[in-house]
Amino acid sequence: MHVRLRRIAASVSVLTLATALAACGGADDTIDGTAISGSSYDGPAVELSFWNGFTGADGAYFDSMVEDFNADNPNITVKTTTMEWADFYTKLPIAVRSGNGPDVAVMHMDQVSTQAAQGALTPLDGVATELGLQESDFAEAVWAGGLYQDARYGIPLDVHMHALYYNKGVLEAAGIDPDAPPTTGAELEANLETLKEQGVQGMWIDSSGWMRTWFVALDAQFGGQLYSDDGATVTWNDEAGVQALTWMSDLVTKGYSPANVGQDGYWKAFTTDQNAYVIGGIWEQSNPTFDAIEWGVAPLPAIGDDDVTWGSSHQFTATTQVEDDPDKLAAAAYFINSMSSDSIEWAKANQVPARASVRDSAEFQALPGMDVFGPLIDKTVLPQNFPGLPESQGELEDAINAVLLGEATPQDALDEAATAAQLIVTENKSKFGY
Amino acid sequence: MATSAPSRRAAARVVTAPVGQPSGNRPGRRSTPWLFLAPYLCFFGLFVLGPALFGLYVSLFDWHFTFPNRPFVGLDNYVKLFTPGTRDFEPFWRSMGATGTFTLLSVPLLVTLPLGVALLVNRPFRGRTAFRAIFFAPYVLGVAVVGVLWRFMLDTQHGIVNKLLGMVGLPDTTPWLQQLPWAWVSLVGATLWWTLGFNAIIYLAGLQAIPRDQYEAAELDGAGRWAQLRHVTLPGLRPVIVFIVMITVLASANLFGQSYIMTAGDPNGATRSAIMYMSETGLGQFRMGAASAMSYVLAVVLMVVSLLNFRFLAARRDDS
Repeated sequence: MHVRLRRIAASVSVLTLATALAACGGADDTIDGTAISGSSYDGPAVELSFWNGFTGADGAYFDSMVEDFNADNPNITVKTTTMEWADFYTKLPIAVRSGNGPDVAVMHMDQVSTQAAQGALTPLDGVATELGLQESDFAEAVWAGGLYQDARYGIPLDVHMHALYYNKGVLEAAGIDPDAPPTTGAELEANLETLKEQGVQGMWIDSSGWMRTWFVALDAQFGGQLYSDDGATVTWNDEAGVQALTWMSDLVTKGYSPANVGQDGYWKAFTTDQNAYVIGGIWEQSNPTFDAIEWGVAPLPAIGDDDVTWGSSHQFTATTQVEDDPDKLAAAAYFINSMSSDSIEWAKANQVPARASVRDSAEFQALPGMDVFGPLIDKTVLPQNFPGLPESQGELEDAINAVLLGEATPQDALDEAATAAQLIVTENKSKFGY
Repeated sequence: MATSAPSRRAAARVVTAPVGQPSGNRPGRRSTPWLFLAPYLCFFGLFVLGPALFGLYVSLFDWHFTFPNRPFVGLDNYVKLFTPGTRDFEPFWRSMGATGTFTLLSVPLLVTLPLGVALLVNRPFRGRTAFRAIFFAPYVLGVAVVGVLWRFMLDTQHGIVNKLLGMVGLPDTTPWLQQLPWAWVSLVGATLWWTLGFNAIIYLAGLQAIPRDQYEAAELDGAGRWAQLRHVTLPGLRPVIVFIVMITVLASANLFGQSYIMTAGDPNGATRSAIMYMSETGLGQFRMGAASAMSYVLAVVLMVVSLLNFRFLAARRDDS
């Protein structure tokens, strides 16, 4: 397995090496006298501290990619530290400030601007130029997601998004064709009604904070977004938001889901043949509990006007720790480019590579499930990218919780949450100055 | 306090003895007690007093960890906590309310039930040591283990608690972690299971410190079991009870791990404790000034509560 992975990695990097060289005119340019190259690192031996939050099955893939990189590059030693994302984002700015943080880090795109605004990250415009990275090789929103105040801080690695998972056994038992997944909200509801007649609650929903991601997808389907385009105003309590949350709470009130489902209870029900449909992320494809069932996955049906979905992107960043060390910066640039070009390996951990050149490869298209998820990159609504915005989303999660537990109506709960969140957004807008 | 009172007396003897001796004029004798205290004071200063004073200082600034500019704002952080319509006013006082609710619900149980347990396992019977160990065992678990364990067992649809209730014909859809009042029942229940043994051990030590001859004298006066409990055991335990009430109130007011893991503050933030909100503010959003001000408000409230406890319980001791 390992040998095979490395052989593939090697062949892919030869390919991208050629493209990278072609892109930057075949010459290794310099920034401040330091050789920055996407194809090699010729400086003295350096050690790079690298942080990520891949605590799940995807972490093993990433570790093996880093191991391969270390083996191929004796003068760079990458030391990986993995921790929960929540800890990651709170520790990173403090650790970097004290010089004990990472030199290179992978983070979600909605954190890039927050971390950059806190002075943890170093701009990578020079690196991106030297590496010949071009917007045309990346999906537009993903490329823009690495920007903060017109400077580039993030080099996109992947995009991950929600789709509709369905349990074929449950559908078949109810006489529904398991190979014709619903493409509209009406079709989905017709199936849920059929299931209900057979005594099956077909689309469980819990009331955890994670339901925010379902809401974002549905809100976008009905034409809304969480904040105004300038990131200054909370807009989740508009008509689209109310429609989205109403649809979610209807799952309970119409009897398609039990009330008061425990956290992640919908997955437990799905993998024990009690639940037919779940909106879930691409990474769930490697969920080991799926082995017990027959399942399929399809794009989200158009429940609103448009069949868009929720998603985010992992981005490579370099911290201010490497700013004063040209060797480290050069090594970091080479490492980032190398990992980003090898993102076909990463795709096997169930992430859609951010680079079109990797997505277009036959190897990517042959990966299971990517026929569904690959094209979804153009249907994915990525988070709005302003520093401090994530702080205000706890209010939205509280509102969703209250509605799904039957404590409040969608309009009232979203209004109340928007009022509270607006205080946070306004304060952060002036604090971070955007 | 039962355990610390005699040792304090012993310490006092050690310290006063040399002073009382006429020949005790060796140089540096005034520093002797401080030298004895030095190891403790070092750690206390470094990890308690220092950070506490620094926190007070921080609470006077708009102190963002990662911003070089941390403007002095005076009492602004405190004023905002008492001004309706500010960012923190509603969620902070709501979280203080949640902590208060938890404390009111948990303290009476955590003071009385362990006493019952201690009385039971204080009697001689076979397997007494095993029972003592069983009651104490959950206390050695970390809060994360306790929280995850109960979250699994209390899951509405897939948890063993509802399954068992259903098997004996009781309602099997109780939303233990999702709805009120069940979320409080679960949090208090899990905490009780977790820390009951600790209080029971302290009670047990207190019970064993009550001289046997008091019971014998009471028995000669014709006191039954109940009268012995009321007139010998409880008065003998009074300092222990004061101590237990105090530490239990403080421990309950520090509620964090249980609600963080079991309910995540749900439903709709109703079980989000004050410490949870402070850690979110200070460590999640780096607003250390505001978070420090909040913890000082909580500290003042707890000081007042502790003083009232002490006044109330200690005064009754003087009456008898």
